[in-house]
Amino acid sequence: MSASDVAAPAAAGNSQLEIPVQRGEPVLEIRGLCVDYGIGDEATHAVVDANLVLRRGEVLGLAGESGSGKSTLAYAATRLLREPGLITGGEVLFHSRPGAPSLPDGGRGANGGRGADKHADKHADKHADKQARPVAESADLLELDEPELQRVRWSEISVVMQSALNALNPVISIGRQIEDVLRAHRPGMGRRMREKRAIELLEMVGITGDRLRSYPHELSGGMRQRAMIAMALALEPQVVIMDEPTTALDVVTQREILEELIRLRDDLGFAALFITHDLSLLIELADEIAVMYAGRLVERAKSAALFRAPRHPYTYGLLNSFPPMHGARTPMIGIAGAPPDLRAVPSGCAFHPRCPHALERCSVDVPQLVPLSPVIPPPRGAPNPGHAPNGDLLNGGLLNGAAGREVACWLHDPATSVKAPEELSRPDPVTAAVPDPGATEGGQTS
Amino acid sequence: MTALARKIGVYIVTAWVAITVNFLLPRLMPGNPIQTMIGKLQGRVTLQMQQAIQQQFGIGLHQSLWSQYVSYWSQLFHGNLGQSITLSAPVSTVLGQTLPWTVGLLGASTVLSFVLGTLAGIALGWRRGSWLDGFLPVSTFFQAVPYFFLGTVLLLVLGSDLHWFPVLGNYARGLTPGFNGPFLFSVVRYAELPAATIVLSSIAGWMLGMRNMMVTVMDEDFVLVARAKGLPTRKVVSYAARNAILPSVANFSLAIGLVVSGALLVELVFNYPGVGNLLLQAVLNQDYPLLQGIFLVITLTVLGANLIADFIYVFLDPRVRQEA
Ligand SMILES: Nc1ncnc2c1ncn2[C@@H]1O[C@H](COP(=O)(O)OP(=O)(O)OP(=O)(O)O)[C@@H](O)[C@H]1O
Ligand code: SF4
Ligand SMILES: [Mg+2]
Repeated sequence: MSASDVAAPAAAGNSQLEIPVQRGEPVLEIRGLCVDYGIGDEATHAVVDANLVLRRGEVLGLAGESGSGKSTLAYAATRLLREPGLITGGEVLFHSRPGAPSLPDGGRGANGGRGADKHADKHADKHADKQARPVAESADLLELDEPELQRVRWSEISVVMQSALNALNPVISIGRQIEDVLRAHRPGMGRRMREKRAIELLEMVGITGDRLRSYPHELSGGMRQRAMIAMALALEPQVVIMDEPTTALDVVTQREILEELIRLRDDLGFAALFITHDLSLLIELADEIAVMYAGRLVERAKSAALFRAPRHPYTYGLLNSFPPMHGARTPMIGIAGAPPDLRAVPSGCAFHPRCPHALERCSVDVPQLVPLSPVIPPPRGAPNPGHAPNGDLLNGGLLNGAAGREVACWLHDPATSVKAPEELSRPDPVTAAVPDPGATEGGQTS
Repeated sequence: MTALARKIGVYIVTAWVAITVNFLLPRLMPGNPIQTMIGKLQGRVTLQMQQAIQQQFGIGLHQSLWSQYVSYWSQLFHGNLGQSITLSAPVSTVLGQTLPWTVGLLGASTVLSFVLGTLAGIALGWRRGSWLDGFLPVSTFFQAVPYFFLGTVLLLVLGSDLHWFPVLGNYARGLTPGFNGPFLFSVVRYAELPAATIVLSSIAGWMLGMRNMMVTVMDEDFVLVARAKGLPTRKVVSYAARNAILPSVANFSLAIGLVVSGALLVELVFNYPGVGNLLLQAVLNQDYPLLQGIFLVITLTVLGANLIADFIYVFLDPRVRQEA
């Protein structure tokens, strides 16, 4: 298969045909993930009960200040956690590509690109190796043994790191580093074919083929990150974890790389978990955004909804802060105080010492990440505004939106008798397109 | 390749300085030791010999230092290192007989020690915290024991008492040197204990260095990426090791001096007929021409070993290759 595959034209054609079928279904489901650094009483709880769903072909942004546990979450989910990190609970379900309907055996006729064939191949593999276990299509990554992990890695989930200079092996040419991936995962591929594919990949990200034998130090920062991206896409994985892939670059290059990523995502249809401490980067890129604070997810919503109608005070603060271009370690401007040391997280809602709206119970009870209730009953005893016939409905259902957004904040607890401030209860643009904005405002200001 | 060219330049200059110092030292030493030596030789050597020595050190010739220097160089280029006084033979001939033994023993055991130590260091670094770490104190112990002491113990216990290894000399008497099986086998057997001494004493340095570098390098992102790529474990280790070995190779030049001096002592302990033994004789007999020849040869050999290490380094690290 390899000969004709690799020679086939770029994958763009066939991927575009595949995406609409697959897009939107969960590909990676993180459930109740807990990660500690160290053991016993001294342990730092870097990730606590994280639930996230990455959908096929979508970009999920993961934002939060430095040290909030974003990388820990991502690396734990991919079993790449560094010592002394320890996964203490949860599961990470990986769902393989859908089987028969979108992936018939053999050639795919006119669009029989390499992507499709490989997928078919891998499925054959999987079934053979796992004796056609009924769950072969979905697997808990945390349960896989080393050989199984090695197979899933990079072919299904690849990683792009912040600094390509550190992520690329300095003494091996970029071509060789790409070819090593192919050698490990495509045993049938000959040396020539690997080289050809490596050149193809480099050209896909805008690096000329004559750079194949260049070493990382011979490339500019932007080019290195491009090479890293090319390598990450070598096996057309379904999931690409991007841990601040543009943070180490200057603004112009940052822009270029982002555009490149958007283009590649559209062409190849991979899903991405995009980690950043700069929320504004996610505006164009992400379909959905999750915000993390002190090891917990505090808000999750469609990106438009999160940007225009944040619900968590921390999200609001992040949106109104200007993260410094360099030195991600300084606290964000816009939110008073500094992020907590995870070895001594404040009780209750970890954000309460910095939160301008903190309630009494905030320092006691930990708010859970729960779906926003579609209907918020008006505060007990509050007069019905009355001037909008559907005022209650607006205030609750349409205002918060039912579009699966979640928040961990007592302000939005239906049982709380306190009303969220205006900036945290703006109409959700995803669902609020219908009602008349005037009516909404009227409902609130009263 | 400019980096290598520069290195070679440095070595040429170093060699030149060494040779020049070698030339100047006996001529500038206070108290005129050469004259004294020749005085002592009176009657012990032939007149011819005496003249040869006088000429070599420029005594009684009333030549300028410069022209002596020029003729010294021309002699050197003809492979003429002068006459050994006590052995009544050209120094080059004497060295030609002993140097191969030393280079063979030292070279083989140094390479062996480097390779074994590096491999052990890779394993120790990779499996940090496992039972393998138990080797660390053991190897440090051997490193702390002086060469000659370790050599003596091995000689007495494994050689003289247990007779597991042949000792004293470089091959069994009665064999014809040459490219024949019994002789080569004997050579290897006789080299075993001295080589073991050198390896045991020097391996810890390579091992610890490599282990610590492995531990450092394994925290690097590119090793994490290698794992994320789903490469076989062997390959992941090699990604780390390829980088971790660089300081070891770079340190080779520093280490080799120590190894050589220690190894020369080992020759004495085992009465191995190499340059170390020759050096001792030359010192005891105040055989200046021989001493000078030995110093020159040792210097050049060490420089040669360093040059090889540099070549290897440049081969291993693309970053130094293109430095302008
Ligand atoms: N090797 C480690 N040992 C102990 N604790 C660690 C280690 N690495 C991370 N942590 C803890 O885990 C927390 C989360 O770290 P993590 O790297 O996941 O944060 P992050 O959100 O990715 O931050 P950044 O934006 O700086 O990358 C840190 O605050 C720190 O307390
Ligand atoms: S739970 Fe309380 S402290 Fe935490 S963000 Fe909401 S209001 Fe602020
Ligand atoms: Mg991080």
